[in-house]
Amino acid sequence: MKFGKLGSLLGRKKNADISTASNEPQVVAPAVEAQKKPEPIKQTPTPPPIAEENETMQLDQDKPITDQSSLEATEQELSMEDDDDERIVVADFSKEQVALSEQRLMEFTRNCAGVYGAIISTVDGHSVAQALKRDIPANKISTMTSSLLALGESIARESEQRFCQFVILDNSNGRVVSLRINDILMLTCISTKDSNLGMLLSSGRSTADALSEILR
Amino acid sequence: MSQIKFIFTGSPGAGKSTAIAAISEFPPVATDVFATDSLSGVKEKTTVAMDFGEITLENGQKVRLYGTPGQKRFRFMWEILVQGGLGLIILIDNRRPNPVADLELYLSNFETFIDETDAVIGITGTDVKDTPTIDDYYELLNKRNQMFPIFTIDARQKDDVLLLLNALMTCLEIPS
Amino acid sequence: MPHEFKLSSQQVSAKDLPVLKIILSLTKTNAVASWDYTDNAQVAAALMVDTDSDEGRSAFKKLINNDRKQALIAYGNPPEGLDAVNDIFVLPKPLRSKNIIPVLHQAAEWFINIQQESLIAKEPSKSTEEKTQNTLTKTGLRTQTIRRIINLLPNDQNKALHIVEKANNQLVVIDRWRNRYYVYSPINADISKLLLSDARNFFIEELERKQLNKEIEKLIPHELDITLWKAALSISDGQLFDGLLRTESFQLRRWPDLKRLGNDPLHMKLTAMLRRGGTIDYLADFLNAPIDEVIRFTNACYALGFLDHQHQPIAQATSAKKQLSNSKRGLLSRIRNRLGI
Repeated sequence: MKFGKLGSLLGRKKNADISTASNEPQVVAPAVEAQKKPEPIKQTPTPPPIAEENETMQLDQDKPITDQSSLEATEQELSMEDDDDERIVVADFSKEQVALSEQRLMEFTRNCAGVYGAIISTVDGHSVAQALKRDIPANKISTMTSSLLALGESIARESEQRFCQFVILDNSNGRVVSLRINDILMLTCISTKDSNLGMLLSSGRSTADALSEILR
Repeated sequence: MSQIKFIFTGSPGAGKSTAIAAISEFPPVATDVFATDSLSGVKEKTTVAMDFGEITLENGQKVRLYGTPGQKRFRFMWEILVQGGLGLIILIDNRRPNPVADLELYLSNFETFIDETDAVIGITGTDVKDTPTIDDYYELLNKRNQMFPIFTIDARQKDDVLLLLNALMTCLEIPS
Repeated sequence: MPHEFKLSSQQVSAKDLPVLKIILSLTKTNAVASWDYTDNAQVAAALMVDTDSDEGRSAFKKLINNDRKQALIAYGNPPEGLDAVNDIFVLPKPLRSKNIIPVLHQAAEWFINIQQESLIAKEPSKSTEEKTQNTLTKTGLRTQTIRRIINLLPNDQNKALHIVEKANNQLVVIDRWRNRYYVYSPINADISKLLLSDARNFFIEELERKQLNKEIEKLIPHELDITLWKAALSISDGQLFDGLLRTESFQLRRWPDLKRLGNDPLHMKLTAMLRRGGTIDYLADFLNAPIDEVIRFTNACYALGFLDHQHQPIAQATSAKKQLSNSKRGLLSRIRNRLGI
């Protein structure tokens, strides 16, 4: 299965097929955000390219969708939500790789005190996978943190410094830390003030390194 | 005193960063990263926060040139970047599947800013794909009851970028 | 006081007639010429005939004679072999005010010229020039001594025309829709002079698409708009083209491509002004520009089909939404200096 479509689905639709124990962090996708998203222009959704259609079919066969109408509705919803530009096409990971990554994210949120969200996204702002204990808009955060990380790296370059390790937002009641996983992926960790910053950075770094191995 | 700035926006790959580079005094500060979506077929990297260039006037004043990310998921950056801008330069890549709809998207999303200032439109990539034509773009503007200068340009050419700025400033100078 | 004209019609459908009357009523506010509908063709200054039916075509042909006192307007496709050089006016379907208003202006001018000629015939003692001037001053309309080919083109924005010298030399095919012209002989590649020639010396016929494609098969295309633009700008007689009036308010429906047509700073300013619209005098006054330059630019925009008649001129100067502060004007001027534009 192609990672591209899965990434889109994970990011944009409820992952109802992923079972989680009650004490596990819920893997929540920002469906609400996607629905709220204003569409300034009304245009007939263009059908995705044939190759992408095939990918969708494969993906939907993997998902527990029971009838053809649900499948069509899913496809239509996807194309209504975003245009083809918004589909990830570069990365190509297996379902197993993505499942392992999510498992790693859940471990991170469980083991690091105060952390209530971890998001893997592409460096150009597409949400890929996430483990969230609160209902926060992962898509939006993915896009915004991609801007922030890029700005951080630019500021480092302009300041004649190299290799931006973390971009840290230290807020009155929490922290947001973004860091690179590799050339095309990044990790964002969201925590309350209960976390220890040093722990958060160190644990975030090791999670990113582990993810880098998984998502080779 | 607030910043003096022009905003370059428009479809991904239309040449916003290139246009800023064509007139900025220093190589623009870029926030480009690898494109992972279908844009990667057109170009390897894409702007995710902003491009930033600058021109210094004789009295030392700085005119900032900001380029926005093109993709609509970066709308939040558009809203941040336009604040206090003098006017909007919209670049549209004619090679994309529906460039007229692209233009409509930017006109709608920047509507408030355009109402307060003005806009000029540059169409790129017409050497590769000559449709839609300028007439098609004007049809959209007529439908929206708007009239902005539209030019086909090569964003690498300084003169072309200056033509856009000239038209934009003329519109700002003339009462509308 | 506006000059008042009446228009009558034949064969115009019951559906179009009320629309026509409404459009005519819009001219009531025109400072120069207003039009009324009449059923009495004898008192009309212009007669409009729907020429898309056999009856209409036949009626129209009967009306064409040298002694007629009314301007003739063919509504729809004119009968074969007839066009503007036969002193008729063509109004394309459907009925739209933007199409009919310029035709009415031309018809008004034609009607006045005919009246003038009849006046000259009755009063041979006065010089023609003097009488023409008198009439024009009285009506606010003006005439042109030469009806140039370029004057006739704006009526045919989407058409293809074949221009043949009366000596039967095929000269040029003009395809406005594709913005191309094609010459039969490379010696005639520059058609600027031809465009400025008196239309009476040429046959100008409309070409069907099929005919056009066949005709241009072996001809080399040239870009039309640049030639039209330059030719229109080169006319320095201070006269507006047929269909344009000095007292009328104009608006641009699109920007001329000044990158290709020549980046003249005045043209850029006039274009920006014409987004909102204005009369020739207002534009010249606001920009402190020579009136002849404004006329030439207006003619050039009209030749390219970019100009619209503004039916309800907005109050000028006072209602400007975005008046620039002096400090911002100074800033833009400094930016211009720095960028050399």
